[in-house]
Amino acid sequence: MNAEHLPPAPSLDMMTSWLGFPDTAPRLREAYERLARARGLEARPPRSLDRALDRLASWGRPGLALADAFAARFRKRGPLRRRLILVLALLEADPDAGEVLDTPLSRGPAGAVFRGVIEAVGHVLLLLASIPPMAVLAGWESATGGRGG
Amino acid sequence: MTVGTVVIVGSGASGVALALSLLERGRKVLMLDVGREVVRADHPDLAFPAWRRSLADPAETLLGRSGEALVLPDHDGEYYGFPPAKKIIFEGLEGFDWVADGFAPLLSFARGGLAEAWTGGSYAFTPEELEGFPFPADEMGEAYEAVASEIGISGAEDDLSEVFPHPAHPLPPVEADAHTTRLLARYDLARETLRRKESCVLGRARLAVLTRDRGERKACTRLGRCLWGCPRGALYTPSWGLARCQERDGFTYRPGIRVLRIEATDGGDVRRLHLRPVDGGADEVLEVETVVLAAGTLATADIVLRSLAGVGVDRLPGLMDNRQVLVPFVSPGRLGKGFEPESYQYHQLAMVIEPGGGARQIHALITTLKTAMIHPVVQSLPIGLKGALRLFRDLHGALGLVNVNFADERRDESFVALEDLGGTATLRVHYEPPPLERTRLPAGLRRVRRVLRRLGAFAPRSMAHVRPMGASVHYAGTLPYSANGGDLTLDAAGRLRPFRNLYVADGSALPSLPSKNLTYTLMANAWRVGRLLGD
Repeated sequence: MNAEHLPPAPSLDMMTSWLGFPDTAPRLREAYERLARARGLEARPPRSLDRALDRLASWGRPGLALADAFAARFRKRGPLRRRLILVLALLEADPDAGEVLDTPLSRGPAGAVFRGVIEAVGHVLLLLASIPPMAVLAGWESATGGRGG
Repeated sequence: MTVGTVVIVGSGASGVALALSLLERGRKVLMLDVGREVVRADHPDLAFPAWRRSLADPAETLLGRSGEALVLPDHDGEYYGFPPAKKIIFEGLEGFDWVADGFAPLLSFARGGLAEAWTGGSYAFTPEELEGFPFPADEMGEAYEAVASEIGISGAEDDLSEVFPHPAHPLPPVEADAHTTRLLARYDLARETLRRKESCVLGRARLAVLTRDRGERKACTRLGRCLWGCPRGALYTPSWGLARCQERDGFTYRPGIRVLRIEATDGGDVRRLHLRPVDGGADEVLEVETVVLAAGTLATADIVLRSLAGVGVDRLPGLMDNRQVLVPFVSPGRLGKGFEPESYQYHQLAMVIEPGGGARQIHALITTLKTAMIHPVVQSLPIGLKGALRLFRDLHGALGLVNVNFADERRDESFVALEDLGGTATLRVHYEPPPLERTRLPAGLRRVRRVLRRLGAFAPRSMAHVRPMGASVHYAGTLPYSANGGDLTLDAAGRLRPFRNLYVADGSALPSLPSKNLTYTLMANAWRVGRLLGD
């Protein structure tokens, strides 16, 4: 698959880096391209909402965080989330990244519960913050049919 | 073919046990099989983390060349993608056509059959559960012990011994992981309450897993690679038994063959088998003396129905399968404590619940989450993927899954038939759930959740997944044992009436289906049939 046929955004490097594995992407590239093609994830999304999510996700880490929160609530089966899950699956198959993912972040039940609360609150805040830019971007994509640059 | 040779159709758990039993008695055996070969796992000393590091392309091995084990959000099947290395076990066969209603059948044309994907649960039927069989329960007891001695079954003398008397002397259990140990400790504290209030007993799983070396097969050293195929042969699969057969004089294995139908005289003498090479070539006819069908319930039904199409038999009623419900749970006390990749990966605990009120026993297998792929679970958490991943790392060592099995019984409404669809003889598998399932399933699951609470675990109700019928692969009942006679039933020796020299020794033979894995019983029954044929 040629690079121009890959989804416009976010890039594989950005997704792996955002998930916490900045040095992993080159090793995963071939598998990512193969599996993205096999699962039909390389095409530009036809729905304006999905194109808006891709556009938001291309605004670096903050944009990707907002797009991830929005997709988790409103586009669980959308192409952005599917690509993120593919990247996660590749990371867990990777020996180095996999070993990191196999270790807990907290030291016991209390720390894990505290982290869970933080993650839940963080998700709600990101979700709320994602709605205004998504409304604007989705409106733009809908109006221009994806030709708005 | 040599005089006195018994022809066995199929190399699954039943066929192999039958062959071993016959060979032990000096009989000659010809085994006919499609027999696609499952590649054995290599590096028998590498534990999961080191093995993953040794792989040339880990993504291809763990997720599959085309992402067969990749679970994306539109996946509407199970929690986990099936390991790519085992995909061949369920691959179809050109020319073997089927349609299904209310049932998602799995067939295997692999060497070793469906039990190549067996997770080792070895749970003998109780004497009460054998009441519908036209022979004494003692005969099966003897066969259970013989099979246990052949394949090696590990377990413990514990509360489950009351309901699973066989094997009488299991090998020591596989070493429990920390989560399992915690659940067992909680059970010790709640034992009397669970017995009194929930009619529940729990104990170490009975597993066809060696904890001591036995010839070519080596003891489990907790490599944590069970899901991708045990490289030590500690976990028994029929292909190991087949290898044992091939070491014996008098055994001939002929793979690459599909048995199309049998040909018998009007008097019920089976004279010939009609065979088709699966890789092309002309059909063959084989002269036979004694034939045992052990191709698995659906494939055996296909052979019988094709053979009887000319005499008006187009349907075999009584198809059974265990309904299974997967109940994920969390043990809060294990949060943030990690998991042990180097441990036995399938279920280490089993429990039995007597629900009362006329409902039959519930049998449940408890698995703690270890090296299974995590992305299917991470995406099910209700927050963004990055946060879900961080959250999951703390949850991993606290997660588990209960596989709850429900019993089934023969009903005319569930059947296997042969139909002409567009000029092609096609197997139709039709299943209708028992009328009381709608009330008994929720009641049983409520009880399982209450038991889990007593074990210090929490099972979110919304996460329970009712598996489609067919998913458990415990198919049975279409050519059942019967003490009352009748065509297309089996006598006590496993002979199919009205034939003189045609036997059936797979799941088709079971007249009822308790709520448990049937593989151990299939092997024991086949062993018993082999003993009767061989003596």
